[in-house]
Amino acid sequence: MTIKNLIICAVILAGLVALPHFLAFNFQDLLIFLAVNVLVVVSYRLVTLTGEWSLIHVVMMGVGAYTSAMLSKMAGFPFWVSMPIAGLTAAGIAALLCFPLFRMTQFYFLIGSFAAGEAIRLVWIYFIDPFGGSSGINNLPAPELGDIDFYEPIPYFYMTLIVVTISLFILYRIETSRVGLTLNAVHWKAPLAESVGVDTWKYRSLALIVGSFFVGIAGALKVHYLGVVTPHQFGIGVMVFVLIWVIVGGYATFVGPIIGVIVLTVFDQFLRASGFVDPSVQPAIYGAVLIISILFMPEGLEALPKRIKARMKGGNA
Amino acid sequence: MALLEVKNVTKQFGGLTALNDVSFSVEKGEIRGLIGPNGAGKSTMFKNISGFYTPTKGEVVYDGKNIAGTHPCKVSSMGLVRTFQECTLFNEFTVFENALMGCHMSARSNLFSAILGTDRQRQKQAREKTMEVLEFMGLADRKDQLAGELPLGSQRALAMAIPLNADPKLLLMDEPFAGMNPEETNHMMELTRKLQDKGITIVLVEHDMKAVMGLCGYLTVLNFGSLLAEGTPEEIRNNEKSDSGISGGLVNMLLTMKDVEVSYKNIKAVKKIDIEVPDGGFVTLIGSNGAGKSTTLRVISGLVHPSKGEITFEGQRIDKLSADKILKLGIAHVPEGRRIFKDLTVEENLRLGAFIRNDKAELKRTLRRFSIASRVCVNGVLRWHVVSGGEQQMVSIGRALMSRPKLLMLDEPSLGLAPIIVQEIAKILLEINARVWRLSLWNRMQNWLWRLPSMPMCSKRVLSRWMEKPRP
Amino acid sequence: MELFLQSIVNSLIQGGFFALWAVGLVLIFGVMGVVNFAHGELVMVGAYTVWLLHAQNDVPFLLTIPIAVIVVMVIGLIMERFLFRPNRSDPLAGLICSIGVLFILQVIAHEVGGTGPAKQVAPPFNEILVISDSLRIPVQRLFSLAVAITSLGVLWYFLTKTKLGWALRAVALDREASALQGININRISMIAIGVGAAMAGLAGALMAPLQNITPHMGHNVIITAFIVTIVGGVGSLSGAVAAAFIYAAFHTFVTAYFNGTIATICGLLIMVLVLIIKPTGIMGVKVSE
Repeated sequence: MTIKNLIICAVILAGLVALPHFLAFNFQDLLIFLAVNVLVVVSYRLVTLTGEWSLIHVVMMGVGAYTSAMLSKMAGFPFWVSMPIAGLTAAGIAALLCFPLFRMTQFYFLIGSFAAGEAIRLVWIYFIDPFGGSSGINNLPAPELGDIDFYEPIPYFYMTLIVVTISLFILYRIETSRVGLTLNAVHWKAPLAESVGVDTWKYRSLALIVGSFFVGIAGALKVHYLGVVTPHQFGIGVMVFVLIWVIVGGYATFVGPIIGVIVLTVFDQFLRASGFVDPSVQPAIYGAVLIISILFMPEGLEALPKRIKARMKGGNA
Repeated sequence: MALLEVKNVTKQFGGLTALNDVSFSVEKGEIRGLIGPNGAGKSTMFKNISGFYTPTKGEVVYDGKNIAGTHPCKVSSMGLVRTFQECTLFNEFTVFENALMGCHMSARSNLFSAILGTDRQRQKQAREKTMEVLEFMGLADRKDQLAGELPLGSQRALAMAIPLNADPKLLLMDEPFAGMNPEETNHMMELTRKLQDKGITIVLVEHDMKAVMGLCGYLTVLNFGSLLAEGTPEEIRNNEKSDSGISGGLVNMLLTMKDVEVSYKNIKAVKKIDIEVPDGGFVTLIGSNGAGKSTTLRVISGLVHPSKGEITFEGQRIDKLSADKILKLGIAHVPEGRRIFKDLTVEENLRLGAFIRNDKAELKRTLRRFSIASRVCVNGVLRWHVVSGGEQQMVSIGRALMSRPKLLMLDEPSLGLAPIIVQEIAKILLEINARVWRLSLWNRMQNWLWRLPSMPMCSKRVLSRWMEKPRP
Repeated sequence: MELFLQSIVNSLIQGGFFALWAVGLVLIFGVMGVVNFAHGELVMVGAYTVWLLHAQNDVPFLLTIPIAVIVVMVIGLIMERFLFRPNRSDPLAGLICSIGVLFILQVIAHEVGGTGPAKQVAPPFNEILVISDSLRIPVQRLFSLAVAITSLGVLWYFLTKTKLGWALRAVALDREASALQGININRISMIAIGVGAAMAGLAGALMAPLQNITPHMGHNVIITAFIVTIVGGVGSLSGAVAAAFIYAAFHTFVTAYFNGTIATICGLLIMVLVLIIKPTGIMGVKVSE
């Protein structure tokens, strides 16, 4: 990381620390979910680095959320303990799933991951004891630390911000390290990677496990603020939103998905605030945005400046 | 002591025997050539050695251990590293990153050291070593370029740098000279010798006889999946009979290509193609692997569109037409690898060949004639492993003929077939050309066509042009 | 015993629906290589059309069926022309576009039908065939089964006995080699999605009087269709139909004796198992070198 990047990061962080004080209460809520969603998309990008598109990511978030919820509600674990365990559990389940799932690739993997995720979700719905069935588990305790009231959005946001920042830093380190290079290599030319000794199965699994760990933590962060966890928070519909954020933002670089989630959330709020569209129409607008971005900007938002520049130069963009 | 011993290896795919009881051994420090015509099983042998395939029977003993069926990544971590046919690179990576991937075994880091940066020392060493390799291959000044944007010669060098960085003891090189000009070939030969000086044992699959004869101390010849001969280049050369093509007279041109260029993404696949096919003629397109022969055929039949140039068929421009329109004009293409619809019956396959025809009665007669002439039964469901390779080829050619083409293009019709069947197909082709439909044949059968008995009934014109590969 | 007999009858009827859902998915995937995630929504649109025309506007039920089929077919054709064709080289992009369509169709259904309780269509055939005291088959269900089986038969005839049908299968097997036979790939793709969507629309129309109609009813459809497709072997139509009836029997019996959710969980697990052991499916052809 260069000095310039460090300064940019510091400015952004300072801005984020100041931001909630200028926002109305409901926007403070939104800021927390936005921070959580950033972690969701960035961890999803790590999974896609090996070229496999999984549909189980949001369910893994649910695994983390349920773990943390059950530990804190039923066993009385403090949030600070249950959150890392949530991540570890998600990673553990992911590790188990690697054995069946990574015997497949591409289309089969996609469908397989979808099926596995749905099966887990149906287990939550079916077993009312301990998972609470369709209505889930509610009245989850907020984190406790000294006198800070984590039922308030601003302290919770700061806590989320710290956790997400650390996670993003770790994910960034992984991606720019040799491990990240190898993951990319597995994506682009798996046989060539194998020819120099890369165990592609291991690296695909590694990406899924690490991605699940962080998304498990994101799940814990989300449900402890909401105070309730239900199976419907982690359905295929939510997974599709993650896909939309990643694709609209562009998944070629680390910042692409982050741009996607922020721009679309702001866009969404703008639509709501403008009052032109009913909230129930929102999914259709998302669908249209998704289609348009696939058809007209396949590299996502983050490639837009580059393409505009190319066009200005009169290149054949 | 032998570093690599292949013992009685047999490999079957369904009913097709790709390798039949092949044994040979490679001594430490030598450069061994593995040669033979296309479809002889050289690539299959490589894949069996490097773990991409598991032999049906037999053993592959490397360094005293049987490695048959071991996962490729385990095999390569034992120092047995392969290169790939044509240019297999991480096109999206820079040159440096490509080469860096090579030292995976010595420099891989685990998750925690990656996050905490504790293996900085080792990564630094890896980068230094990678730079050395790049300098050795003459790529140091291009290290930040994207691999996909390199000129062909440098791509080849990079494709060597990756395995080299993996510290191989035994290097399997798959056609490293394909598509190279003499200058590049000489450079590559130089590099290969330098590798030998470093103590690396090399097994080489190659069609470029000059390179093979110049480099290898000992040759292993495969033919139709079996070991044909072994010996020094001189011994092998004395065995071989050479033949040459004859040029014939000229007639009307059925097809002309002028200055045709095709690019996939930004890489030019063929460049500056000027070809003429006479009416009723028999044109053979030859050239090394990767020279652009298949692409040339694909561009004519409309599967890919040229980025530059003109293709004219019977006076009509066809370079912008789609594949089905071009077929209607009378150009049929038998693709490489036969491409039979394997879930459909033979009859359905043939009828699909006649997809553009509407004359039912005539069609029925043609079908009957075909089934008699080719001795392929028409009704049975065609399964890849049930019908033999030769019969598949018959069906594939028959399918193409069903549309009653004026120009028939065959892409490697002899690939993987036994000599008797090749002769038989050749006979049928000659017959077609001479009497039945009076069409022009164009194929890229490589060596065997040259050795056919003379073809009395057709005007023969062998186009022995080597397609040029783009160069920087 | 009665429960057993009743379950057999039910599973036959379910199997008809499952088969209709799955053949469309298989056709579209086979010919175009696109996983159509919006397939369940196509079924939903079919059901909504019947609800809108028959239950709201008193159009005769038998007339609404062809209308529903045509409406869904047109949607399918639009998807092919404007979404799948531009993305032919990238199946993932096609899949994602179909997810976009899924959202849009759901919202349209929501807007058309309004919120509130699930929509219901009174069965136009009220008679019940009484075979024994506890074995009763509503004629409406029998009608659905008959239509489903007839249309599957017509599809089978089309695919195996006509030139266009062979062309369709040929494109599914090898797109490039088909183009070399003079087959217009774009036209075949249109036909494939037209037929596939028509089957989905038909299924939707037939289901309308039998179950609750909601904008989200497609979810269950797509999961079942995936299970059936994978178990039957991707790309194998006869496999899909066989798997549809087998899975329907399995699902009905587990539902009857245990619970519907358990049945779906088992189905998903079976599917993952099939993917692991034999990714080409039970009836699929093994692709060799």
